[in-house]
Amino acid sequence: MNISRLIPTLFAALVLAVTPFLSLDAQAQSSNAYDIDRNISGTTKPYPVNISGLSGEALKILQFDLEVGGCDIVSKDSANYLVTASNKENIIGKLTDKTGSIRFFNRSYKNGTTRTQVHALAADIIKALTGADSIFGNKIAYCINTATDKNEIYIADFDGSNPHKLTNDGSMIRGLTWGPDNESLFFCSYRAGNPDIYRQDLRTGKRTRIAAYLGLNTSPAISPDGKKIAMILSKGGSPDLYVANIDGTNLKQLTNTKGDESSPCWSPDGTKICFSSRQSGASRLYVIPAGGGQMKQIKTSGVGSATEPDWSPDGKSIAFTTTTRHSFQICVVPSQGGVVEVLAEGASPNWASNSRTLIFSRKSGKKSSLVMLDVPTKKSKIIGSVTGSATQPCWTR
Amino acid sequence: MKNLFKPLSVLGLILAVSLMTSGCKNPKPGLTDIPTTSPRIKQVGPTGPSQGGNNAGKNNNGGGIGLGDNGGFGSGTNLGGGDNMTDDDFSKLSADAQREYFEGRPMDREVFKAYTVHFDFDSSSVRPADMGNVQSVADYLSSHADCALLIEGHCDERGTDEYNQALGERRAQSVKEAIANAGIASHRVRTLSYGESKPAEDGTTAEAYAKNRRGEFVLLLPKTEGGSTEAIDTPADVIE
Repeated sequence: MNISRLIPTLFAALVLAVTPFLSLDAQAQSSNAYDIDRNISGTTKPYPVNISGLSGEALKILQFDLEVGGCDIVSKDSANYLVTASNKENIIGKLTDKTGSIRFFNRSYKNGTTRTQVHALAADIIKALTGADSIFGNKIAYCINTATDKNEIYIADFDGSNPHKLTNDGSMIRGLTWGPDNESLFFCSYRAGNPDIYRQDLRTGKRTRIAAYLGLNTSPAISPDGKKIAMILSKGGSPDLYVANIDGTNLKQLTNTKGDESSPCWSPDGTKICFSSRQSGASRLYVIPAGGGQMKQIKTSGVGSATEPDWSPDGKSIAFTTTTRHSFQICVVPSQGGVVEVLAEGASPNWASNSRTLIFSRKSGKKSSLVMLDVPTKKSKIIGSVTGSATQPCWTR
Repeated sequence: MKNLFKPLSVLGLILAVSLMTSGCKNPKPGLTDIPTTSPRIKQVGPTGPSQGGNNAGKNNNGGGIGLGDNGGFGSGTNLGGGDNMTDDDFSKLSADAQREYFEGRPMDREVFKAYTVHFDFDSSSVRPADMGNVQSVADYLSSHADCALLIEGHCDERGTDEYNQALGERRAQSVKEAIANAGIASHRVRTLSYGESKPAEDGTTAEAYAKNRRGEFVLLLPKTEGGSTEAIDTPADVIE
């Protein structure tokens, strides 16, 4: 009774709440209506965009960013959206529909470098078209292989520019991930002759040992609140999932299976941990309460094995790798389990903060490249500026 | 004179005791004395994923199992420990102290080179055909009480990196369990996974993959502290 009486009021409140947004984005919404096809699984076609007025490095950067964001760069005739830009003193850019009658924005960008200004323009275009927040200011950490059993950590801008070598261990690194507030990196290194977990402070360069038990210490995963670490240790006789305080103290064993667990990741609300386990003989995805409890399998219908899960920041999807006869494939599945969507060849997927761009590695012969994929449009882009064989990419959060 | 001798005597006593408990003789580089110290091993053909000799090795060992090893069971609670420590004692040590037990020991990668064990695809179970190799290594360890063992777990490249890291560790742990079942105190055995990063053979053939899915045994010799080589030569009769 009370509820039914409330409904009209609620509806009015909703309309009021949404109206300001509508006035800003109504044009974008209406233009989306005629050019975006959505199929059953929700895949969106890439946004056909034409760029005019830019050349050289600025054009290259904008093209790269827009392609990462889910756009196809096309001729004016094929475009549904027009970017008209110039690069005199500063970058100026305008986004309209193909007729020019709907103007999304017209802005100039001050300060920073041409590169950062173009990234800002690209972020505005992607925001207007897809609603996604910018990832063009994010950084990535990754490893460059120096031998089959040796690699070093690098940090670069999201597009591979401004690379910076972080380690000089001359040993092997696995399970690279960012620490709280992106102020540190956590990883497993073999440099002491055993796979141990370390934290490396990015400001001071200081390295702290987090877990160095006999056997395997690997795959650190930091809780969303930055207070806990999930990791794989074999001190109990088999690689099992453990949780501890971020400094490695107050260790608690969460799984005790005969198979081996690997690659934990946290749900964005911090209540659950997803990981891969070979408990049933084949590798499958499982979820366990972060405080301990029963591990429960997540259905990944349509694929055989499932390893390297990564939970999207919006909580909706889990990306993972499946191993086929001859290759690795990047997949996504709803976080409660269900039908798997196979996206592209690659391994070691990691979600960007926008919950739509995945970064992963793809091996071709002996060389491994970094690839970014816009999940809704399935548009992928190799980061060509990263030279060398690169693996284990991960975004700042 | 007497006062001068006293510290030496104490040292001598320690050395004498350590010599008595030590099964490992002077560690020599490239130590390959398995055949003389462990007669059973002499006959064992190394097993391999694609070798016809598998069965020969297995059969030879089959005959030997149960002779020497079970004889040791009655000798005390510290079976195969060689360090006056039980597994239970060891488990009470700090993580650092446990690491300390293994670290700094010279490695001999040659001794057990022919005794590498192999695994089926995506499996961490020790094959029955490889149990002879496991037994041979266990025999050597039970007669070399001061030595420890490193088991390295490896995978082929058809798994993702972190998955292979865990699988390689699980393989090494399976071999460790088998070594323990053969009578060796499990705290003497350390495991180390290299995932797919150290293939025995390059290539993408089924044969190469089969060779790469393996557990390797590395003998860990007693630690040689600075100056101890000279001290070992001190006559035991220095003891008062």
